[in-house]
Amino acid sequence: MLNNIFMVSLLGFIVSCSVHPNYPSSDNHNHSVPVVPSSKYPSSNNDYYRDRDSRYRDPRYYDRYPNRNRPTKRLAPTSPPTRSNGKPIYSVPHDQKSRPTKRVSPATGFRNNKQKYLKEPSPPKRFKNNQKRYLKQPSSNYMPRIPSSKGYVTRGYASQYQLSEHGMKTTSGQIYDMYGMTAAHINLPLMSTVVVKNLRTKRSVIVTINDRLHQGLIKLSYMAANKLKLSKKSSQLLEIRGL
Amino acid sequence: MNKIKLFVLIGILLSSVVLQAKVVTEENFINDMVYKHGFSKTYLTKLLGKAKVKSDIIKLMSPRPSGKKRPWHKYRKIFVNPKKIKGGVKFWNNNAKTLQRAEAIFGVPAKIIVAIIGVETIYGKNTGSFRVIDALKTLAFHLPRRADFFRGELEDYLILTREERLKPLHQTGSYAGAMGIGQFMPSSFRKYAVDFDGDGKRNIWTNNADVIGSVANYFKQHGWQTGEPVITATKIRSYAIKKLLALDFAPKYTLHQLKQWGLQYFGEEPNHTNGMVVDLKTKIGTAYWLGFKNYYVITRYNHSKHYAMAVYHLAQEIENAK
Repeated sequence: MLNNIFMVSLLGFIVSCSVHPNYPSSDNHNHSVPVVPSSKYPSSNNDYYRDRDSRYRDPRYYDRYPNRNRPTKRLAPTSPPTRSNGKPIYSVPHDQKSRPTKRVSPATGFRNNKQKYLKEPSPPKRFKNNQKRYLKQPSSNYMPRIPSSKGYVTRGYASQYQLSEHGMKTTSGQIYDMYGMTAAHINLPLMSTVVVKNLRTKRSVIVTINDRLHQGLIKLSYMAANKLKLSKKSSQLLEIRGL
Repeated sequence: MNKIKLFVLIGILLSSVVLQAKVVTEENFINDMVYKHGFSKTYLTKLLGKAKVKSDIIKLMSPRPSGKKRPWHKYRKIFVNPKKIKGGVKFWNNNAKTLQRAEAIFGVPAKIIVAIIGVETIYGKNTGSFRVIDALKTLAFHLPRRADFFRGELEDYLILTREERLKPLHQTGSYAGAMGIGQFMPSSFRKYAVDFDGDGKRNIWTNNADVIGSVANYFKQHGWQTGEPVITATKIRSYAIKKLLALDFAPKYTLHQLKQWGLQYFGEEPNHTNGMVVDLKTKIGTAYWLGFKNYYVITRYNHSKHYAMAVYHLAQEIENAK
């Protein structure tokens, strides 16, 4: 047994010596059977198929098993699709294509929309209980953030903080105090100051925006609303000017 | 049975004797002053003889006839209004240098000093028209409920007039004997008033600089913490309201303890800071605040949660308007 091992090692030594180091040596010369990575051509012994779902996720089987557990996200194509004559279909890769920029009117804060720009917004309608009111109000999902409050002028309607929000943390990290002169706004930057004027009572206050709002234009603190003599129903038109 | 009756009788007799012993007459008081502080007896009897007992002072000192405390939102309107805010800005601009000096020396923000003076006497406009000696005599000998306190104040007032070489019959103040623009009681005048403009006199009746220095010194001596918060809004779990409001009116407990008992505080103060829970009745319902050491220091000027909150709000408003 010991002799055998010695012989094998000696043989191996001779073989390694006989191969010239300058020649390119390939693995195939040393092995009689080519070894192929198992993940590329899985054998039946492999437990690759134990989890059957993995087959559906493998992009190589997309054509065989369509629409099952397929990941929604796909990698962008590395090269643009080409026609049969070799020319690209798009002049610019479609994922890098420049889109028209969304322009925001400085007066309204809305996207450039003539009707909205010219008309004053109508007061929010009264809805019945079973109607979904939040669908009708502007939502922060499509209101682009404004980088600075300078030159910002908008007219709209305000809501007010509830008593239950007294002592809660705002988006800026400050705590909401009902006697503070603060407000939550839909798209102005945090900690910017604005003048809010009640066009009906002709009163105006300066408030700091320290909170983010997701439904509606602006939400005023108890004290700010009190100083504007704002009614609880949000039916009085306000003008907001950035400082 | 007879024995028990006897005991009861003796008890009643003893208690009445004790009650009688508590009431100090003018004569006893004068003898005390002569013995303790070396006043002349004839001087004091003459002085107190010239002082008058005023019935309207006792009326003013008695609690409100309705028996109800004024709610916070009504109290706030009296002290935080456009008139006081405008006056505060004006006072601040007129005494900017002195206020800056006081802020640097004592570490008390100028806005708080201005607000205190505004709440007390509308920046010196309303320092009170009663003679201090009348008010103190009336309250020390004709209002048994608070006689002990005011006898001490009368004692301090007499010593004060001797020390400062003032005429005791001429000084004016509020119906409770509080004097000058800062409304200092005689005892706090002796302890905390300072000469802040270097003229050698502690004049809190007409000298704004001395008043500013004295108010700042009062806060400093009571432990004002420079740069620390005064009061912030908080929430309380509904089951904990009773327990937290029954605690002593002082920042005795740490935030850690209060949070364990049901305080919901979202501020960034560390858990070892001391705090106290304050409840105020607003128009839309009761709201809660967490007062810190500085809030407690403001209540040392006047022992009322409404007073301290009004001072803080007025200070904020003046700072915003400036």
